[in-house]
Amino acid sequence: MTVFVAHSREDVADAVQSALASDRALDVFAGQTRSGLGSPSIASDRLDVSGLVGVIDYQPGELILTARPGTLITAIEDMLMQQGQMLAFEPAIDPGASLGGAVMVGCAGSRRPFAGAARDHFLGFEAVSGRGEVFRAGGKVVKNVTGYDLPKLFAGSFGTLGIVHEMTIKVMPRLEIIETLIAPVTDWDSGFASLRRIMRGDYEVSGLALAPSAFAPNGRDAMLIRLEGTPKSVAARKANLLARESQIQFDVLDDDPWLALGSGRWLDHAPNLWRISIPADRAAGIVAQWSADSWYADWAGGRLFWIGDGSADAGAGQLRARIRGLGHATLIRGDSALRQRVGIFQPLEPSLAALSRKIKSQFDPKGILNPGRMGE
Amino acid sequence: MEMPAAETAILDQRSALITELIGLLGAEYVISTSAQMAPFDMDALTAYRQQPLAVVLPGSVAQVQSVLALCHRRGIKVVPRGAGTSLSGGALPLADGLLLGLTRLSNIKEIDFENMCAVVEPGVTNLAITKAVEAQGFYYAPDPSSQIACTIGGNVAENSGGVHCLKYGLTTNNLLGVKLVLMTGELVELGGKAFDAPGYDLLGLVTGSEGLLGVVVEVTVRLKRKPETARALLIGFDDVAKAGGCVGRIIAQGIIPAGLEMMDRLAIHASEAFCHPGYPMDCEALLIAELDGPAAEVDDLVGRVEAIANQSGATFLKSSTDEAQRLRFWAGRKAAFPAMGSLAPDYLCMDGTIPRGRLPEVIQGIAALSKRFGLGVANVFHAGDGNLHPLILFDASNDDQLARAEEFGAEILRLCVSVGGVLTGEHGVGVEKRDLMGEMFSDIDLAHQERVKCAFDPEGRLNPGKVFPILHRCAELGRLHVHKGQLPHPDLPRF
Repeated sequence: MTVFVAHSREDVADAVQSALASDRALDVFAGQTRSGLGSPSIASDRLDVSGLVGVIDYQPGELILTARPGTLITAIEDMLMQQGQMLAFEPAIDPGASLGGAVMVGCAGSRRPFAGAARDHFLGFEAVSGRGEVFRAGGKVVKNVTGYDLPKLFAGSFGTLGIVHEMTIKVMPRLEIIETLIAPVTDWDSGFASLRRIMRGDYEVSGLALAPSAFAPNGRDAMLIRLEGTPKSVAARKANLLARESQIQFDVLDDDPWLALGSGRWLDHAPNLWRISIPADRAAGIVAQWSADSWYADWAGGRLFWIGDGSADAGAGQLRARIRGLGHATLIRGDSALRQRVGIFQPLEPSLAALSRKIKSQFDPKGILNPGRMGE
Repeated sequence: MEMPAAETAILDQRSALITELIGLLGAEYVISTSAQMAPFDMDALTAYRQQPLAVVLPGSVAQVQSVLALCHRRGIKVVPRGAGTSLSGGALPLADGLLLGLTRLSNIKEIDFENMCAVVEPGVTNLAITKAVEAQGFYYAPDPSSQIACTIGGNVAENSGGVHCLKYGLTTNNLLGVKLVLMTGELVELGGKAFDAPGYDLLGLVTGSEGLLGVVVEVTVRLKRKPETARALLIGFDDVAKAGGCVGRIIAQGIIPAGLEMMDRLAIHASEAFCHPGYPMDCEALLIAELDGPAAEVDDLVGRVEAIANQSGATFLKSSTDEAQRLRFWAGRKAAFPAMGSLAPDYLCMDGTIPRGRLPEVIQGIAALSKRFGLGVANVFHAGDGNLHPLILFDASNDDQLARAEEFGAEILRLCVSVGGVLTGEHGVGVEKRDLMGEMFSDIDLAHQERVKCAFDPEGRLNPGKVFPILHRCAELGRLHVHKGQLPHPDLPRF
């Protein structure tokens, strides 16, 4: 195995050219904090892009930041913090986590239903495609419809279409205060119904979670609600919420649980972990089948984290059959045997799988970029 | 601006095609006389007209599929169309293309408040979605100025924006799913009611693809709760640069207004004369800022914005105190386009986006171009997100003026790109900006985009002649080695 190390666009292009010439595919990586996401690479060589670092341009007034993909999320967040801004899509900040990785796996935090995922903040890029050519797409302004929206296609593409070496993202003002409310729930049905009712209200919440007592910070089956914004705004919305939902016993939670909660961290102890995306109103019916110490919910039930069951496929077959046509389940942690056995991603309908293969072959006709990572 | 030459092989099939379409759909779904096709000759880019081969108005998804399958088999080009409100010529017919109108598919299929979404057919108008849910306190956020007429299918194709994009996003940020018919007639489902489907984000890719990748036949849109209240401010300045500075300060202080619009002197005067919203007449630039949310937040932010306005040297400042006044502040802005009618018989509406900090020099540049081309220009501007709408005033009955107006518009867009901006913020490329794509993208950049088209429609039958300045054959694009700056086929049609 050869490991190429890229420090510049030219290094990336050279590595791709060499891969094309030798017919040896590349596994592209930086901080490797997300290598457990997606299917394992089946590439013969590796390309380290963690040396592509640095913020190229940051204009707080324009709400844009342009950086190399290996730039650490923590470094970017620090820089943004000084200007009172943030990444609204809440990428996980494990040591070594890079901006490129966060966007390429299509990460989404608890704010997803309210402020969008990485895809919604990825404005433009320059990349080397699997053809060995450098190309640009999108732009460096927040509002742009010139040409196809390739940043959307690339967000969540696990590096299988091109190696991005410059990326422009949208940044947002940091919300002045964050307040988390926690309240006990008596049963999942009414708990999820309360979350959906609060979501439909005009409280402008930015987090709606439900957790069994095993994980909830108050040690009881509980719902968690996040309010963010200016102090006056949060106070007013909280007052409205407490008045109109007076049957619910809210307490204020001092800690900020959202980054851990939104990245599945509350289930770090389990060997396997599923991330399930469904219409929020289906959540209660699905979790009713699971043991209470095996799951929790984000997005008012639209996203579930579940450690699976004791069956040989960790529950994949049953779960995927149940949510087919409604949503999808992704294995975000599991030993390699399980990962081989069940497939990381919910299988695509044949027509979509065919279309996706055609797109892949247009950008990477010889299949040299991160083969296997999307379970293809 | 030229369209690809009509293919004789297609034109020769016209009567056989019409017969086959009538057999397939029934005569009431097919329009083929010149008089009846006249309303479909153009979209809102009125400088261009073309009669299509025929018009079909299918009444079901199955009919859309069978029409596309038929055209695929016969090698007929297809131009999809919603309400025909595109400002960039996205729905301009082709002489050798079938015009596929989706307006008959106009049912709201499901409103799902539990999941904050609605499932609608493509011919439902943008505003009709909001109308259907507003009694319960909800709305659909993207609000293009044509929202009373434009269809959601067209909004998906164009990734439409509106005055509230800065806070609430464009169409692409407000969708959950789309059903799409490919050129072959095959139906694919992208997304649904759950977020972030597995695989490539084809929903994101198709949104804004201007009808080149597939025909939208169903859309799942996200609904939002109407904010508790909204207030607007009018802020006047004696200098455009000061107004631009004020916008920058508002955003730098962490305030994202629901709407943040700017008008220049000519636009202010025309709007005031048109509908008397009470705008100050002695300003070079007028901002309309709207704050929405809980009353306590809005009142707080109105105070903050007033303070920023004063620090920025505002010469006029008024904040709405009731709903009627708020709507009056907006009336002039919303009438800005029709108000141009009092200044000139026609106008071209441009749509570049620039980094906001470059506004003063771009406004100066536009003024200089106005002198050079001898045509007036009024500037209306989604200031918050840097999306400029210069309105070039001219008389279309004068051929020379039309040509000058188009060249003036092209120069404005070149200026936008030269300061780090883009050709179009929300109207789309269509035919209008097609030949300018090279200003922003290299041949290699464009080839990578065109290959997406090859994955969906390798024969190039769906809405060809739009977006891309040169029609490449997919076989040629598929070759691995492209020599930079050297076109392998000098004989290919360029337009």
